Amino acid sequence: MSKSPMSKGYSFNFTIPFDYKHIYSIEENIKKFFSLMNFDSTIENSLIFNINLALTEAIVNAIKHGEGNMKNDKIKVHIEFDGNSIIINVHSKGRPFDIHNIKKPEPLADSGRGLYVISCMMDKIDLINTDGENILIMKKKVS
Amino acid sequence: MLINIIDKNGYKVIDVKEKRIDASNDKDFKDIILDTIKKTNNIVIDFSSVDFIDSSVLATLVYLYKVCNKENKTLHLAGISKKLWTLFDITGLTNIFTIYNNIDECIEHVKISNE
Repeated sequence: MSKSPMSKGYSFNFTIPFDYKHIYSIEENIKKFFSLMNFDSTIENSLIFNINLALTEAIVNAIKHGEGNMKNDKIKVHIEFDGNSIIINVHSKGRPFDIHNIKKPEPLADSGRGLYVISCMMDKIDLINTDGENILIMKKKVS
Repeated sequence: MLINIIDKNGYKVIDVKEKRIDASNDKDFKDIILDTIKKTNNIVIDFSSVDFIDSSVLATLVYLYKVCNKENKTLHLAGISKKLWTLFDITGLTNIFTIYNNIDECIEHVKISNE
Protein backbone atom coordinates (compact mmCIF):
# COMPACT_ATOMS: atom_id res chain seq x y z
CA MET A 1 0.00 0.00 0.00
CA SER A 2 0.92 3.61 -0.16
CA LYS A 3 3.61 4.84 2.16
CA SER A 4 2.78 8.49 1.71
CA PRO A 5 -0.09 10.17 3.53
CA MET A 6 -0.25 12.58 0.58
CA SER A 7 -1.02 9.83 -1.94
CA LYS A 8 -4.73 9.34 -1.30
CA GLY A 9 -6.84 11.48 -3.53
CA TYR A 10 -3.82 12.58 -5.54
CA SER A 11 -4.62 13.10 -9.20
CA PHE A 12 -2.61 13.76 -12.32
CA ASN A 13 -3.64 14.96 -15.80
CA PHE A 14 -2.00 14.90 -19.19
CA THR A 15 -3.01 15.08 -22.86
CA ILE A 16 -1.91 13.24 -26.00
CA PRO A 17 -2.61 14.43 -29.57
CA PHE A 18 -4.56 12.09 -31.88
CA ASP A 19 -1.33 10.88 -33.44
CA TYR A 20 0.59 7.64 -32.88
CA LYS A 21 3.94 9.41 -32.82
CA HIS A 22 3.18 10.87 -29.38
CA ILE A 23 2.25 7.65 -27.60
CA TYR A 24 5.78 7.13 -26.21
CA SER A 25 4.95 9.93 -23.74
CA ILE A 26 2.34 7.72 -22.00
CA GLU A 27 5.12 5.87 -20.20
CA GLU A 28 6.88 9.07 -19.10
CA ASN A 29 3.62 10.42 -17.68
CA ILE A 30 2.79 7.20 -15.82
CA LYS A 31 6.28 7.20 -14.32
CA LYS A 32 5.78 10.82 -13.23
CA PHE A 33 2.53 9.86 -11.50
CA PHE A 34 4.18 6.92 -9.74
CA SER A 35 7.21 8.95 -8.67
CA LEU A 36 4.79 11.12 -6.68
CA MET A 37 2.86 8.18 -5.20
CA ASN A 38 5.68 6.53 -3.28
CA PHE A 39 4.37 2.94 -3.58
CA ASP A 40 6.49 -0.04 -2.62
CA SER A 41 8.90 -0.70 -5.53
CA THR A 42 7.78 -4.31 -6.17
CA ILE A 43 4.13 -3.22 -6.39
CA GLU A 44 5.14 -0.21 -8.44
CA ASN A 45 7.05 -2.27 -11.05
CA SER A 46 4.18 -4.53 -11.94
CA LEU A 47 1.59 -1.73 -11.71
CA ILE A 48 3.57 0.50 -14.06
CA PHE A 49 3.76 -2.30 -16.65
CA ASN A 50 0.03 -3.14 -16.44
CA ILE A 51 -1.11 0.49 -16.51
CA ASN A 52 1.34 1.47 -19.24
CA LEU A 53 0.05 -1.38 -21.39
CA ALA A 54 -3.68 -0.79 -20.70
CA LEU A 55 -3.36 2.95 -21.26
CA THR A 56 -1.35 2.49 -24.45
CA GLU A 57 -4.02 0.12 -25.78
CA ALA A 58 -6.79 2.58 -24.78
CA ILE A 59 -5.07 5.51 -26.50
CA VAL A 60 -4.16 3.53 -29.65
CA ASN A 61 -7.80 2.43 -29.77
CA ALA A 62 -8.99 6.04 -29.44
CA ILE A 63 -6.68 7.15 -32.27
CA LYS A 64 -7.55 4.18 -34.52
CA HIS A 65 -11.33 4.15 -34.08
CA GLY A 66 -12.06 7.61 -32.66
CA GLU A 67 -13.08 10.75 -34.43
CA GLY A 68 -10.45 13.11 -33.18
CA ASN A 69 -8.70 15.56 -35.44
CA MET A 70 -4.92 15.22 -35.48
CA LYS A 71 -4.35 19.00 -35.41
CA ASN A 72 -6.93 20.26 -32.93
CA ASP A 73 -8.14 17.46 -30.69
CA LYS A 74 -6.37 15.84 -27.81
CA ILE A 75 -6.99 12.73 -25.76
CA LYS A 76 -7.25 13.71 -22.10
CA VAL A 77 -6.03 11.36 -19.40
CA HIS A 78 -6.83 11.69 -15.71
CA ILE A 79 -5.16 9.33 -13.20
CA GLU A 80 -5.93 9.21 -9.50
CA PHE A 81 -5.43 7.02 -6.45
CA ASP A 82 -8.45 6.71 -4.12
CA GLY A 83 -6.62 4.90 -1.33
CA ASN A 84 -7.38 1.42 -2.75
CA SER A 85 -7.28 1.61 -6.52
CA ILE A 86 -5.70 3.57 -9.30
CA ILE A 87 -8.44 4.99 -11.51
CA ILE A 88 -7.67 6.14 -15.03
CA ASN A 89 -10.13 8.08 -17.19
CA VAL A 90 -9.44 8.45 -20.90
CA HIS A 91 -11.52 11.15 -22.65
CA SER A 92 -11.62 11.12 -26.44
CA LYS A 93 -13.92 12.01 -29.34
CA GLY A 94 -15.62 9.01 -30.88
CA ARG A 95 -18.57 6.67 -31.03
CA PRO A 96 -19.24 4.32 -28.08
CA PHE A 97 -17.93 0.75 -28.23
CA ASP A 98 -18.98 -2.41 -26.41
CA ILE A 99 -16.88 -3.19 -23.38
CA HIS A 100 -19.26 -5.71 -21.80
CA ASN A 101 -18.79 -8.57 -24.26
CA ILE A 102 -15.05 -8.65 -24.64
CA LYS A 103 -13.99 -12.09 -25.84
CA LYS A 104 -10.55 -13.64 -25.97
CA PRO A 105 -9.44 -13.27 -29.61
CA GLU A 106 -8.27 -16.31 -31.58
CA PRO A 107 -4.48 -16.59 -31.37
CA LEU A 108 -4.16 -16.20 -35.15
CA ALA A 109 -6.59 -13.26 -35.42
CA ASP A 110 -5.26 -10.44 -37.63
CA SER A 111 -6.27 -7.77 -35.08
CA GLY A 112 -8.71 -7.02 -32.24
CA ARG A 113 -6.59 -7.75 -29.15
CA GLY A 114 -6.57 -4.24 -27.64
CA LEU A 115 -9.72 -4.29 -25.49
CA TYR A 116 -9.07 -7.85 -24.38
CA VAL A 117 -5.57 -6.88 -23.22
CA ILE A 118 -7.03 -3.90 -21.29
CA SER A 119 -9.57 -6.20 -19.59
CA CYS A 120 -6.75 -8.58 -18.53
CA MET A 121 -4.50 -5.80 -17.18
CA MET A 122 -7.23 -3.95 -15.24
CA ASP A 123 -9.72 -5.09 -12.57
CA LYS A 124 -12.67 -3.14 -13.90
CA ILE A 125 -13.48 -1.13 -17.01
CA ASP A 126 -16.43 1.05 -17.89
CA LEU A 127 -17.42 3.37 -20.71
CA ILE A 128 -19.51 6.53 -20.67
CA ASN A 129 -20.42 8.31 -23.90
CA THR A 130 -21.88 11.79 -23.86
CA ASP A 131 -22.15 14.19 -26.79
CA GLY A 132 -19.72 12.25 -28.93
CA GLU A 133 -17.10 11.95 -26.23
CA ASN A 134 -16.04 8.58 -24.83
CA ILE A 135 -14.78 8.32 -21.27
CA LEU A 136 -13.12 4.97 -20.72
CA ILE A 137 -12.75 4.33 -16.99
CA MET A 138 -10.18 1.74 -15.92
CA LYS A 139 -9.57 0.62 -12.33
CA LYS A 140 -6.63 -1.31 -10.91
CA LYS A 141 -6.50 -2.32 -7.27
CA VAL A 142 -3.23 -1.59 -5.47
CA SER A 143 -2.30 -4.60 -3.35
CA MET B 1 14.47 1.69 -35.41
CA LEU B 2 17.61 0.18 -33.92
CA ILE B 3 18.01 -3.40 -35.09
CA ASN B 4 21.12 -5.51 -35.63
CA ILE B 5 20.92 -8.48 -37.98
CA ILE B 6 23.53 -11.18 -37.41
CA ASP B 7 24.12 -14.56 -39.14
CA LYS B 8 24.37 -17.45 -36.71
CA ASN B 9 24.38 -21.12 -37.72
CA GLY B 10 22.11 -20.67 -40.71
CA TYR B 11 19.80 -18.32 -38.84
CA LYS B 12 19.32 -14.59 -39.26
CA VAL B 13 19.22 -13.26 -35.72
CA ILE B 14 17.22 -10.04 -35.54
CA ASP B 15 18.41 -8.28 -32.42
CA VAL B 16 15.89 -5.53 -31.60
CA LYS B 17 17.64 -2.72 -29.72
CA GLU B 18 14.53 -0.67 -28.92
CA LYS B 19 13.11 -0.58 -25.38
CA ARG B 20 9.60 0.08 -26.61
CA ILE B 21 7.78 -1.11 -29.74
CA ASP B 22 4.20 0.08 -30.16
CA ALA B 23 1.78 1.41 -32.79
CA SER B 24 4.13 4.36 -33.45
CA ASN B 25 7.15 2.33 -34.65
CA ASP B 26 5.58 -1.05 -35.37
CA LYS B 27 5.59 -0.46 -39.13
CA ASP B 28 9.40 -0.05 -39.22
CA PHE B 29 9.73 -3.25 -37.19
CA LYS B 30 7.44 -5.10 -39.62
CA ASP B 31 9.23 -3.80 -42.75
CA ILE B 32 12.70 -4.76 -41.49
CA ILE B 33 11.60 -8.30 -40.65
CA LEU B 34 9.68 -8.74 -43.91
CA ASP B 35 12.79 -7.67 -45.76
CA THR B 36 14.85 -10.24 -43.84
CA ILE B 37 12.27 -12.98 -44.51
CA LYS B 38 12.69 -12.34 -48.25
CA LYS B 39 16.43 -13.05 -47.98
CA THR B 40 16.50 -16.12 -45.76
CA ASN B 41 14.60 -19.21 -44.54
CA ASN B 42 15.28 -19.20 -40.80
CA ILE B 43 14.70 -16.19 -38.60
CA VAL B 44 14.81 -15.64 -34.87
CA ILE B 45 13.84 -12.33 -33.26
CA ASP B 46 15.72 -11.45 -30.07
CA PHE B 47 13.54 -9.41 -27.69
CA SER B 48 16.01 -9.33 -24.80
CA SER B 49 16.48 -5.53 -25.05
CA VAL B 50 12.73 -4.88 -25.36
CA ASP B 51 10.82 -3.85 -22.20
CA PHE B 52 7.47 -3.01 -23.73
CA ILE B 53 5.30 -4.02 -26.68
CA ASP B 54 1.60 -3.42 -27.33
CA SER B 55 -0.99 -5.50 -29.17
CA SER B 56 -0.13 -3.95 -32.55
CA VAL B 57 3.22 -5.77 -32.28
CA LEU B 58 1.38 -9.02 -31.53
CA ALA B 59 -0.72 -8.52 -34.67
CA THR B 60 2.48 -7.90 -36.65
CA LEU B 61 4.09 -11.07 -35.27
CA VAL B 62 0.99 -13.08 -36.26
CA TYR B 63 1.17 -11.56 -39.75
CA LEU B 64 4.87 -12.46 -40.04
CA TYR B 65 4.15 -15.97 -38.75
CA LYS B 66 1.56 -16.42 -41.52
CA VAL B 67 3.98 -15.14 -44.17
CA CYS B 68 6.66 -17.59 -43.00
CA ASN B 69 4.22 -20.49 -42.84
CA LYS B 70 3.04 -19.84 -46.37
CA GLU B 71 6.60 -19.74 -47.66
CA ASN B 72 7.77 -22.72 -45.58
CA LYS B 73 10.14 -20.62 -43.50
CA THR B 74 10.71 -20.63 -39.74
CA LEU B 75 10.25 -17.70 -37.40
CA HIS B 76 11.24 -18.17 -33.77
CA LEU B 77 11.28 -15.74 -30.84
CA ALA B 78 13.80 -15.43 -28.01
CA GLY B 79 14.62 -13.36 -24.93
CA ILE B 80 11.06 -12.44 -23.96
CA SER B 81 10.96 -10.99 -20.43
CA LYS B 82 8.57 -12.26 -17.75
CA LYS B 83 6.31 -9.23 -18.12
CA LEU B 84 6.12 -9.53 -21.91
CA TRP B 85 5.52 -13.26 -21.52
CA THR B 86 2.24 -12.45 -19.73
CA LEU B 87 1.05 -10.62 -22.84
CA PHE B 88 2.03 -13.51 -25.14
CA ASP B 89 0.38 -15.94 -22.74
CA ILE B 90 -3.02 -14.21 -22.32
CA THR B 91 -3.37 -13.82 -26.09
CA GLY B 92 -2.45 -17.44 -26.82
CA LEU B 93 0.70 -16.62 -28.79
CA THR B 94 2.82 -18.87 -26.57
CA ASN B 95 1.01 -21.78 -28.27
CA ILE B 96 1.87 -20.56 -31.75
CA PHE B 97 5.48 -19.52 -31.54
CA THR B 98 8.48 -21.51 -30.40
CA ILE B 99 9.96 -19.19 -27.81
CA TYR B 100 13.49 -19.67 -26.46
CA ASN B 101 14.97 -18.15 -23.30
CA ASN B 102 17.81 -16.67 -25.33
CA ILE B 103 19.46 -16.79 -28.76
CA ASP B 104 22.12 -19.34 -27.74
CA GLU B 105 19.43 -21.76 -26.57
CA CYS B 106 17.62 -21.35 -29.89
CA ILE B 107 20.76 -21.93 -31.99
CA GLU B 108 21.81 -24.90 -29.83
CA HIS B 109 18.37 -26.47 -30.19
CA VAL B 110 18.37 -26.01 -33.95
CA LYS B 111 21.88 -27.50 -34.19
CA ILE B 112 20.83 -30.64 -32.25
CA SER B 113 17.63 -31.01 -34.32
CA ASN B 114 19.70 -30.92 -37.54
CA GLU B 115 22.27 -33.47 -36.41
